Amino acid sequence: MKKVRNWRWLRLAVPIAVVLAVFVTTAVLHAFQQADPADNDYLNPDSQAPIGSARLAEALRSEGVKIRKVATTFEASTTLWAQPNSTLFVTAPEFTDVEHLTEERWLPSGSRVVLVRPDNGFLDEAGWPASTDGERWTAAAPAPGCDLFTSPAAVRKLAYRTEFTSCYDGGVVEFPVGEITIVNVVGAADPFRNDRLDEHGNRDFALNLLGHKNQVIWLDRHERDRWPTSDGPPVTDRPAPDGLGDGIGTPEPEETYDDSGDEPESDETRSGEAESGSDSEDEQPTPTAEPDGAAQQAREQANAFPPKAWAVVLLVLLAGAALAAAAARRLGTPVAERLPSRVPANETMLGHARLYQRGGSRGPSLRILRHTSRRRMTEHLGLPPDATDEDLAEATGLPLERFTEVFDPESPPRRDSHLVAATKKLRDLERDVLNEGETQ
Amino acid sequence: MVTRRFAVLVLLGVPLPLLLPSPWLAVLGIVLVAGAVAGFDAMAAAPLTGIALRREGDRTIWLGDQATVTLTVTNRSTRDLRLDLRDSWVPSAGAGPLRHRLDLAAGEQQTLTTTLHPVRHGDRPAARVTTRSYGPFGFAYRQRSRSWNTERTPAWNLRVLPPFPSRRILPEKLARMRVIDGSQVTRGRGQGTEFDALRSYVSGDDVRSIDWRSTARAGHVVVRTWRPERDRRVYCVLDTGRTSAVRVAGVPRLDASIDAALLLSVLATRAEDRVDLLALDASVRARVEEGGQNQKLTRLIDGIATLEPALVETDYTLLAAELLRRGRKPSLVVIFTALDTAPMIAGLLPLLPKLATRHHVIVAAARDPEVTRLAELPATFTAADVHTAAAAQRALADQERIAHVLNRSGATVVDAVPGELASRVADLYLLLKATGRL
Repeated sequence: MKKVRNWRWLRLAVPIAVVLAVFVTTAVLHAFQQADPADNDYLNPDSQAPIGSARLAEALRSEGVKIRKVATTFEASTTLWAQPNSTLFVTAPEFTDVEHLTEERWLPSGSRVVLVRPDNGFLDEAGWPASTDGERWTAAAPAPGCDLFTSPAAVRKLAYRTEFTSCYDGGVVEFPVGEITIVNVVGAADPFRNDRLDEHGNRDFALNLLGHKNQVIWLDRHERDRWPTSDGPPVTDRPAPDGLGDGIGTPEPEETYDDSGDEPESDETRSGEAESGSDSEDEQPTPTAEPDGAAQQAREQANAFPPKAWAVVLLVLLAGAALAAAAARRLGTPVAERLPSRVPANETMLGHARLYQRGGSRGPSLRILRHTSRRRMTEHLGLPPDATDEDLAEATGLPLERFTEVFDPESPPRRDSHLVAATKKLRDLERDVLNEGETQ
Repeated sequence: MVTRRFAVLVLLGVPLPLLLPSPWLAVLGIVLVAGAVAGFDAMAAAPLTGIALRREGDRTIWLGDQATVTLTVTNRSTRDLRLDLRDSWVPSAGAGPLRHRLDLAAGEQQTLTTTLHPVRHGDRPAARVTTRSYGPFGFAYRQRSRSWNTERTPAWNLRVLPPFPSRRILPEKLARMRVIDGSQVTRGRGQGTEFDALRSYVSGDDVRSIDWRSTARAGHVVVRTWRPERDRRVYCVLDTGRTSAVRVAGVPRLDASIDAALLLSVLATRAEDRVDLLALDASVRARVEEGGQNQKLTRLIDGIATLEPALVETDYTLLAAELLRRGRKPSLVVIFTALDTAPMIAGLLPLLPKLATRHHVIVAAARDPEVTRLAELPATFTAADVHTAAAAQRALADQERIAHVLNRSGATVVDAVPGELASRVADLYLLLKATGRL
């Protein structure tokens, strides 16, 4: 019986497959669209590519900020150490040598460090008082929410939590390291990119962040960095690279403080405020942040699209639900009925046949055929059922050998071809016997 | 319940949140407006309770014929009715068309015609009429639960009588019976065994039939005339167990049995014998006995029509009990079954000697022509063909053996392909009738 193929499973499989395909496509496209820190253009101060930062570097220069591009962690640390009144801008923290970069002795007082999207591993290893607090699908541009910045900027992709100053809902955090080094952590690379510099208040934000000091040490690194272990000075406990540290190292921080005038002071006062205020204000964010964490995250996700888009989605969903409801109600259910049996009467017989074949029962099969054939012959010749080969030969006039060959073989057929040959012989004999009878 | 139009209405509102300043209020507004429209529409739809249904048409047909059943829908409400109606029958009734669209003004009525081409014999009932009343705008409708619809559906049952292909050989069998009966003038009185009447001797009469006592009394030579026995008992027993469920030449074996039983019943009724019927598997499924001969055949066909094979083993002790209940009068018991070894050996065979002492037992079985065909090897064959032929010959040998055993136990076995079974059984009956062995 031909088996009808059942396609009903498609009803379940197709919607799931469509949803999965949408998920996978979205994930792939999203991953594809992300700027890759390993790309040489990524936040490169000399690159005009969309993900480069040439425009920002130009803007900084026009503000009178000197840009010094360095390529290794070692170079960055030593340069910062030599010129403490600078901002160290780390575009790809994950490629740097965390242990040495964040070592307090390499961060002279008065310096400033800006990190773009450091992950939790980096922050943990550094032992800095900040941790990540969820990641968004795209960068959001919330209002600053603190005094450090004035314009909204697209900084909140990776959010951070700190007990010190937090801006842009955790998109930017600021905390002191050691005594006086200020570290800024930015949750997204968008404000520094050529293609996004003019969006929101990105330009103001970037200039404000990097324009505190006269010089920006721009660590432009696109592959994993290792601290040169063969160098003597870096691994000794006295941080005096290039022989400059001794002379400039100690007085510089003091000078930096004085030099930078309002800015560092205000920085310090701000951070001081943040610190002092943490007694009173800390309780406000902490208890609200803990239980409302999930809710806040959901709210943030909802903010990814404007309300109009959500309203349209809701309406489309409602229409879909109405369509489903309209299609689901049947005009009368199907009527069930008992079906008659479809088993053919010769099912058992065919089963036996297959069993003989599978079991290679050539001998028994041939024996059955012989028995039937012999009975037909004896009936035809009018002989008793137990007539011998000699009786048959005598009655038909055929040679006795033919009967003995067919009915008393020396061995049962061992192969299918033997079985077919033996059956052919049997059939020929039977035909001859029956014809013989007829001619007689 | 809403229709697709309602969904379209909501979809039409999709641009509004984009155009209006407050998107959420726009959504609320659209939902409220669409809901109000649908609610009004559902309220304005004609009530389902105002629909009256009435059915008329064929109640009995032969399988293969076409039946027509009408359904009259009356709108008794005061509102106009826009109705979708589904007239569901069991699938084997082959009913169509199932769906109807009606527009009925208040008080108006319309007749829908359903044509039925049943695919199986038996009772083919109308299952349910489901009604759906739409509102004037088509945004919403009223429809009640399945049980409510089932309750209000006018009951109708189409009885499909079993196929009776042997109808075409009935005239021939009847002609042969009339020969036996002697009712054909050309052939003169028949050679029955039952005394019919006395009449004067005419030249050519058999001298052995001269009734000497009457001749002495009458003063001239009087002969006895004979006729075949009448009012004999024929008892058709249909086995509806698992061996009757299997398909022989594409149809259930029971159909071949029914065909043969019908032909035998018609013949026996015409021969003025008393025909009773018993259908049994694990229990008695149908029993037709007693009653006048005129309606007997109709009742018999009716009783057979609803028979369906069940996948259970037949219990022949029920047959013994039934025969015992009928009394001691001998009958011709025709058992329509299959010559399968196990059911025969375990079921019928132990009872057969006892049955055969009092009754004449015929075991009629439809054999599978496919087995007979496969038992013969084709001109060119493979080892698989040899194995198949061996299996088929073994099956045939088994059947022959069981037929032999049944014969020895006192039963007459009729083993024929479905197309010939009815004829062979009828021939045997006529032979028994002619030879007065009933």
